[in-house]
Amino acid sequence: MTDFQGLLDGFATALSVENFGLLLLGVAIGTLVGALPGLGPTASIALLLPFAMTLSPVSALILLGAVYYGSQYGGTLTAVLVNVPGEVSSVVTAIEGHQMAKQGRAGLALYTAAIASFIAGTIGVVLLMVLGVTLGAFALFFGPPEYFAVYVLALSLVVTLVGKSPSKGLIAAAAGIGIGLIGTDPLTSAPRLQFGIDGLFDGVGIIAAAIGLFGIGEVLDNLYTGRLSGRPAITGLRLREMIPTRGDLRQVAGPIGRGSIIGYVVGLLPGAGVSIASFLAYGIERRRGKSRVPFGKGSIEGLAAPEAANNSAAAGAMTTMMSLGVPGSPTTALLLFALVTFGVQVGPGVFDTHPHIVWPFIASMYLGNVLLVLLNTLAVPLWVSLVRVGTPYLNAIIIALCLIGVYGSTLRMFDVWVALVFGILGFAMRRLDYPVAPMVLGLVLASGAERALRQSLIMSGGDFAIFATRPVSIVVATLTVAMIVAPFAIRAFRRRRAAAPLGKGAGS
Amino acid sequence: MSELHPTPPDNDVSPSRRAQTSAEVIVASAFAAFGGYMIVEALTRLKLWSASGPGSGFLPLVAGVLLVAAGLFVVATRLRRRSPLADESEQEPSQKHGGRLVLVTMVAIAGAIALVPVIGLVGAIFLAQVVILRFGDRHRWLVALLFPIATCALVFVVFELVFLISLPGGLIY
Repeated sequence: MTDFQGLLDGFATALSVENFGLLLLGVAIGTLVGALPGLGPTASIALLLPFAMTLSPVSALILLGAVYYGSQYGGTLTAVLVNVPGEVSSVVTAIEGHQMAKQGRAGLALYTAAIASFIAGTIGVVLLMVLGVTLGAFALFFGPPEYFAVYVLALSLVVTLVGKSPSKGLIAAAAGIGIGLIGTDPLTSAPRLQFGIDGLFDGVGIIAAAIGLFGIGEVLDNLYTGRLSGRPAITGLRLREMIPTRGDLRQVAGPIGRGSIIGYVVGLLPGAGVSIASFLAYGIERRRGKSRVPFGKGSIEGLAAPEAANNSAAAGAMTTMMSLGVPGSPTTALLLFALVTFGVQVGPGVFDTHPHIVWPFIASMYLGNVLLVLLNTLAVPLWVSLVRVGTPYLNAIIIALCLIGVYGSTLRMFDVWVALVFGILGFAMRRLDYPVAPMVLGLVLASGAERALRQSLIMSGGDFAIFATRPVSIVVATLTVAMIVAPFAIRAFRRRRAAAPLGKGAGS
Repeated sequence: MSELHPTPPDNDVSPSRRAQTSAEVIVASAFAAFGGYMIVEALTRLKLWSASGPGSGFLPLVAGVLLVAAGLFVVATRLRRRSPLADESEQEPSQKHGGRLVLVTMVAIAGAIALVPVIGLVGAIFLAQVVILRFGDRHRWLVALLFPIATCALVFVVFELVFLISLPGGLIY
């Protein structure tokens, strides 16, 4: 199924001096932003977008992709050594990893996490390759109605899966779509939703909005919570203890395998994301209960499974983004935005239409995983020093990067104001439990979804039945309804089950 | 049970909870207002439907209706809820301080951006960094001044001299 010549050509491109240098830069930035609390991969990719836009499409994708999956490795460092997860997906790593560090097993925890990440990342890339090529066979079945159905599915999943309140998720998604529609109608060029502001004629810049929501919003949130005040206290690390014994390896083999598969499958679902993958993998290991050390007290199985899951989930999310053109998270939404800006039409068939971009990117993921396992085992003291020195100045660094990044992307001061407005909005949303992910997805998908909807209805002469008569769109629409109804049905079922014993008790 | 744990009367509600409720209502109302604007634009200025299918106002109308409905639902739910959420009732004093800090930072960044025509973008970055380092992260004045100077020098060298990207210089250069 796999085009090995394409893969070999991809390795040749990825190993060019420029691309390999960008790959190295990307994995290093990814590790650092993953390790630093208060700066996530989404903010980093948003900040790097203006620079990436000056590169060739393949170089930009190699750089931005490396930041994304690199951050999944880096999150472990602070989770284990400082007990502060750099990313939400590292929360469970902190539970077991920091306990191991306190027992003098920090080196073993970091090494195990790096190996688990490497194995899972590689499994994820293999699956991305196989599934991406397989989905290419369905390219002929994908027209505007199918794309519209998939966009609706993605948004519905994000609304229902992300955040605590579906109504707030819906608000974020609808507002994101509304903001994405500001500017001019893509088919008729009629101005719309501009609030009488000239600067909005070309719409809201996605880079400005993303930098505002994730960069400035993050700084305001850091200041509000005082999260980054002071130098982090770092648990001692003895590198000599990093090498695991054969017994350790035997213990983690199963959790790594299970975590890799669970993570990849969860990562495929738009909205589920790496955090849910890591929590699910941890929960399953805990339920199995086959650990010598109790969970919560430094279980190596409880560390390996979620670490594997969050890395393969990143590859799963890339699969959905590349082969269906549907981003499942803000980070993949920004990657998609970058590709669309370069004129790359992702979706089924992308392996045939853009092999010169897809194969080098996949090859770079193999190489990136090797680089990351080296960086996260041999260079641990370097990252620890950078985290120790950089954390107290992080807010100031982020704000400088935000201002310069937004201005550099369009050379318009208007966009700097837009970023500030979105920063304030992002802060308010975080504080009031509005999920930011649906807003970014709505913003990125709005124009594509509108185009697909209108093209579909032009094809059918305005008849909405077109979405219910084509096989792929029927399947996707059914999935959408199931995904929307399922959480409510499960909640109602649980409520009824919880109420049942009370009812019996009252009766007796 | 309700006699043992009576619902507190409205005048016993803590200021932090009142602030949280107000913030919830304001933000949800703002989203609903944006939805209302989309509906009005779609119905009055944009074409909803044409001979070839939906017009430029169709999707704004759908998004606007969803936004208004969900926004009003959140407002109504929030106003109806009487007992504080667990995480709201445990608001720490440091977070009250954090609120003031965020306000100061927002004003400082906005002021810095507004002053770009005078102090340039590099000057704006300097100003924003000083406020964040000194008042946000509570560094000593020396650090709060030296770090932004170093950052601004780096930004100037990288953008103006290496990449030859002209940044707004204001009245300074």
